[in-house]
Amino acid sequence: MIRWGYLIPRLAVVATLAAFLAFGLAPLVRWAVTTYGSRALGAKIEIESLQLSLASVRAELNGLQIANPAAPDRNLFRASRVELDLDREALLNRRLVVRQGRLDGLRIDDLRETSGALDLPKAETREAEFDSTAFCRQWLLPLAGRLQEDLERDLVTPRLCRDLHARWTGEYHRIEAEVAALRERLGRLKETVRELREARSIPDPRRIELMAAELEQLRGQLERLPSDVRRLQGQVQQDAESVKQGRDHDLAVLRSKLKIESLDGETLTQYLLNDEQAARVQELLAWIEWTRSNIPQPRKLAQPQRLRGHLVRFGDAPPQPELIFEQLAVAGEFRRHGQFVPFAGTITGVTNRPDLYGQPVVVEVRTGWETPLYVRAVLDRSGPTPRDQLVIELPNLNMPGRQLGKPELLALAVAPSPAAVQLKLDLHGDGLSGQLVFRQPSVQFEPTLATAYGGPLLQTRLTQVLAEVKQLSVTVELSGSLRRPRMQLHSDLGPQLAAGLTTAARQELQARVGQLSERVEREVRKQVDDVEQLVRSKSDELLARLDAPCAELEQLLAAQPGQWQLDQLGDLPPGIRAAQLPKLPVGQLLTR
Amino acid sequence: MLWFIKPLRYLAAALRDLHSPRRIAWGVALGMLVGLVPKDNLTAAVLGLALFSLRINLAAGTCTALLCACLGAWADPLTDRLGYAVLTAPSLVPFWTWLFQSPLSAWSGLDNTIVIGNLTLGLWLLYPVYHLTSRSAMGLQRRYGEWLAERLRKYRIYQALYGADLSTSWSLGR
Repeated sequence: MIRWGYLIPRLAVVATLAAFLAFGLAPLVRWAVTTYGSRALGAKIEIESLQLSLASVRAELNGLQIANPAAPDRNLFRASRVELDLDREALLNRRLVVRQGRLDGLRIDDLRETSGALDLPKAETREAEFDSTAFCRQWLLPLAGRLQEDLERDLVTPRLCRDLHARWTGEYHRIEAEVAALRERLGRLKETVRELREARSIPDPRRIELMAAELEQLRGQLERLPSDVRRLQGQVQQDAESVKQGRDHDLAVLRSKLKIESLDGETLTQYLLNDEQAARVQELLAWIEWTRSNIPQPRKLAQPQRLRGHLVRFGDAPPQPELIFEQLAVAGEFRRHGQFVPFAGTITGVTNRPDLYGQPVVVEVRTGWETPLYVRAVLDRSGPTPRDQLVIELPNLNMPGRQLGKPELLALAVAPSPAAVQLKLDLHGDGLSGQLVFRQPSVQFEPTLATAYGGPLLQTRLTQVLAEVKQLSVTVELSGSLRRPRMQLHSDLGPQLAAGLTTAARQELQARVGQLSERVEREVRKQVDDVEQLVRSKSDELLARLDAPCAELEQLLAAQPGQWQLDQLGDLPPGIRAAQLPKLPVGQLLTR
Repeated sequence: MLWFIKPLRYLAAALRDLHSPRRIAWGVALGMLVGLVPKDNLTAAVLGLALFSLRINLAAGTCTALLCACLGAWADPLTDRLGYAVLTAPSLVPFWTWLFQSPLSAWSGLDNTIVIGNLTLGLWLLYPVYHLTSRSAMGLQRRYGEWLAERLRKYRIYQALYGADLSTSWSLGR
């Protein structure tokens, strides 16, 4: 007889166990993955549904979403369907080995409907920004200063000519004034002489003496002034010579202004491309750093507290990792510039114990033909120090129009055109080495130069120079560490632009110096001619004006019948010419 | 609905079953074994299944399992060394080698020193515990069995629990 009271409870236990395996195991695994996985990652892991088939040893996940810890409103990736074919034998040996897997509908960096919360500290700024102030002070301002420099300020010729003209004019004004004063005095003297000569009595000897002295002085002046005028005629030759010397000096000064110190191409490269390339590299390095930080460290799977004894191994078989994804095929899309780009690839060798597995994780991803992207990442955790290699190739990247530099200083507008990017990185521990090569084979530049640094004049010349630059090639040598990377930029743009700027500035200066030299020559010629003409005309005029007073003086001194002979007054003894004159025999002295 | 009174019902059943001390003794011995062995492995699952499947006193078994699970953690340093000695005993190495190359053996957790140590300790204590419990239960039965059963039957709570147990047994039996 069957004892139902005994059998049914036992059967119920077995049925419950079977029901748990059939219906409860999958929800339990789903709960464990989402709960403990989220805690380990620091972001939400969500699985819409999970089916486990113990018979076919197969797992199927639908609607897998893993939030990005750095951006909670985005997913690190989302897969609409994940299929995992497990290794039965490994499963019996308490190891999870995925022989083949497939991730479909993979979307990287996808927007989430709800936030997957995590507050990671923001990545510190790794690369010091380009010091544009120093760049302006050291490079642009001197160049612009040279162009804005008042070249005339250092020229001596114009000043010399102005001084000379003023001096000569003053000199002749002085002589003219002297001649005029002399003529006035002569007029007054003539009147006095006429009074003396026509006097009925003997003139006052003192007055005669004064008049004689004045006559003598007047004569002396009349004799000196022509010589002064002639001396000035000689002086003009010397002055013309000094003006010519000044002209030579000025031309030498102007020629020296043409010596412009060439701009440093590397500095210009840094100024134009540092921000763009640094942003590109930093974004990439941030991704790498984040990815590396989220790669689980090689460790055993966590064991419950009471299972933390020692595992004793038997047999010769080497220990195997508990978890291996041998090969995963991935297909999906990632967002780039707001558009989803489809990609496909494979991931091999994912394990929780790379040290036991001995092989690196290899990720290979390709996108479509329109904007092809090839990524190969080798993540080696088998040794004591993590070693990663990353190769990214973008052979046909459609670069949108962009601006290099700053419009308030110097900027280059780059027209849209295809470009190629190749990045090779080698990370050993935290050490970083690698190279980023950016090539834009057919490129057009439109420069913008602020007025303070040359303005439209230099910009026009720069445009002509840059029309010859057809290619932009940038190489970024990376070194240092992941947290503190060092970048060394090399590009042909900087040197070409520096040469262009220098040439443009030099051409501009040359044109201005040429104009100034001609102006100096012209000015010198004109000033010298003017002075010579002034001297000639004024000298002739003055000499002519001096002839009349001389003649008048001669006439005044000439003996007039019936008048006092004035010359004789001068022959009087000095004692007589004084107070003794009234006592002198006037009759003997003066004849009528 | 009455799941929360199950432990009380099991206790009442244990008191009622004083006239079957062997069931109590096996319950205590198996409960001790289940309690000592760490969970999350196939060994613990099999032992648990045995505890729930065999015709033994489940109340005594579960209570002892709970008690030994708490006490077992204190014995881990000892069982770790004991387990290591068992696993590395030269005479047993061929057996372990054969065992751990078999399917599912990895799930047993027997390659862990604490698991095998606790299992060994439990198995070593199994018969002494059974024997002592059996003798004690029989002694108690002889002295206080009838008297205790009589006194207990007067309590309404016992009657209620006993009735619930009878009702469950009766309905399952049909």
